[in-house]
Amino acid sequence: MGTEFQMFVRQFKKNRLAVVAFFVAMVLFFLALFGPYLTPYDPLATSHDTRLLPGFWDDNMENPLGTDGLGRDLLSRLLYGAGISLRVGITVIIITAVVGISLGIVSGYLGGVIDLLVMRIVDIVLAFPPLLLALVIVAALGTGIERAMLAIAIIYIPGLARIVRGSVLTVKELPYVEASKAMGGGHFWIMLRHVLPNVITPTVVYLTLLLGDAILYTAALGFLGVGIDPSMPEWGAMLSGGKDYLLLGKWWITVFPGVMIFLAVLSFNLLGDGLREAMDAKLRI
Amino acid sequence: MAETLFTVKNLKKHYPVKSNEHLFRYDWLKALDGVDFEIFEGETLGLVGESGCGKSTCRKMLLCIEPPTEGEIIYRGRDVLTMNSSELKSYRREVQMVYQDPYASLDPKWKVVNLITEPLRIHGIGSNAYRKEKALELMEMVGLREDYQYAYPHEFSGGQRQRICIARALALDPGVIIADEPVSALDVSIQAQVLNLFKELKKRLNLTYLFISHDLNVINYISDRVAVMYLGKIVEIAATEELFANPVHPYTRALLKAIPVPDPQDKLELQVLGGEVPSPINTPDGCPFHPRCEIAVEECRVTPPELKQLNESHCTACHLARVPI
Repeated sequence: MGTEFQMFVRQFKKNRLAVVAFFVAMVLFFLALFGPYLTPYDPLATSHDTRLLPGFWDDNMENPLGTDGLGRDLLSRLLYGAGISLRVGITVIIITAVVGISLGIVSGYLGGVIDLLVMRIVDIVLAFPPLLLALVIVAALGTGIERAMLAIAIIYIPGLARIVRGSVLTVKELPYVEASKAMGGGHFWIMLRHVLPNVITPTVVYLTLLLGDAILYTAALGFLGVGIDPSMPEWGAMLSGGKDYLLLGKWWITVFPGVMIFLAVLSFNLLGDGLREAMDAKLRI
Repeated sequence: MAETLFTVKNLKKHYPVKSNEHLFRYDWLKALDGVDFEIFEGETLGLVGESGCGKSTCRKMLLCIEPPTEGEIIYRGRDVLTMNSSELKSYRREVQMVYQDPYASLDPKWKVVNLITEPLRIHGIGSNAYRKEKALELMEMVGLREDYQYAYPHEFSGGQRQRICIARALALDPGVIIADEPVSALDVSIQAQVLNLFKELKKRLNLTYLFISHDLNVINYISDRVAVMYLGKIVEIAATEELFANPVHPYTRALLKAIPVPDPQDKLELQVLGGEVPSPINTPDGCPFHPRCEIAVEECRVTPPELKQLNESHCTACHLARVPI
């Protein structure tokens, strides 16, 4: 529907920050797709001669962002890593969103034994220290980036399910739900058409914040040797790998991956905010 | 006499509530405690009573949203409570609902055209094009402009929203509309407009209404017959003129006396009923009204009165009904 989309765009444009965030996110997506083809050097090639070189601030135009402790070009690694990091972040968000929202809605709407069961499982999962739980899950499933993503999603699902369930409990008592029931609407119809659209708003912020957490957790799991291969140029892994050199004054190894993660999280967060505002018919003028 | 559409027999709904004194015991909140009435085809039955007397619980039972504790609801000879799912589905097509709060009874995320056609979509009736046409037809019928079809509920005033609700209720061409306080959230001037719309639609589409309200003026204006509820029971049913001219039950009299008269010469001497509505958890023995009744006698404290036929169109549940006061 053309008019609807135009209204959406018009509303979205009113939020300047969100528009900036949109372009930053677009750039990141571009890097994620084409980064590996833009790298000036092989991001995995190590060299003893180029270890810990500073970048453009020290007139090193060969390696504009410097090199890390194994002599790998930081710019190449950042470009190459965009794809890996964003893929991890977005996959985790999608898994968490689908499972967490479904569980929350089913649990809150149907109530009774199902609610009790789901919420007790949620309590159990929430009782574990998150990183430990992720480790256990990866240990049980076997290592690999896919399993690491699944493990991270499992950590975040209970929190989301809780938030969603809370909103569902409010929504399901509203007269329009009873009206739909009286018209003959089944549970599935009501959950999908009435409950879901009305509980999605509070989850958007939670989900956008998850991007950064997911990237960092992937790094943590990689650091512990169960997630991604630490030599792979994932931003989180680069960040944690560079921290040993901080004391030696080689700040660029941690700062540049940190800046990328920061940009990704901030732009997704602002973008999520802007989308929510533009989608919510009530806030339109 | 017109055909009987609904027969409600001895309808009871008791909700469990945690007892204050006992840890593991439940008390029962008697929201409905034996309600009997009939609705005839083509009439408007007004259901009136104070807040918390069970009017809305009665609505929930009739719409099969919650099962009653006891009793029967018979619609056109079939017991609604024992219907199978396909029968229930056709029952839901015939009985529609308009709610009290037009702000909360429309999903804020839906456009008007989708709101109005929701029942059609649930029942899988017609193509998209047909539904849209039907929505426009209904919007015109309830007095909404066509160009509002893509607007969202928050863009409307209360009266307009109630019109949307009415259009939605009419989408399936129902025979019966249950309206639960449909005008109590509206301004007085808008109330009149919406009530007139109800009347006009009834004439045009040959509808039957169960009209729930606490406002006696509204009830007087719209109803053919009136049922007065008190504490989960019906205390008096009569034709509207009969009830307003000749109320028999002391509670009905008290209600009628409490209607403000718009006359500045008339001294403000509203006779407001003393005391409070007893808790529906510990209902009094005997007649539920006896603690507040001016004319209660010993019998009222002991035996609960049954609905008695006074004349053709007048029933009341009072032991003293035949005593002229």
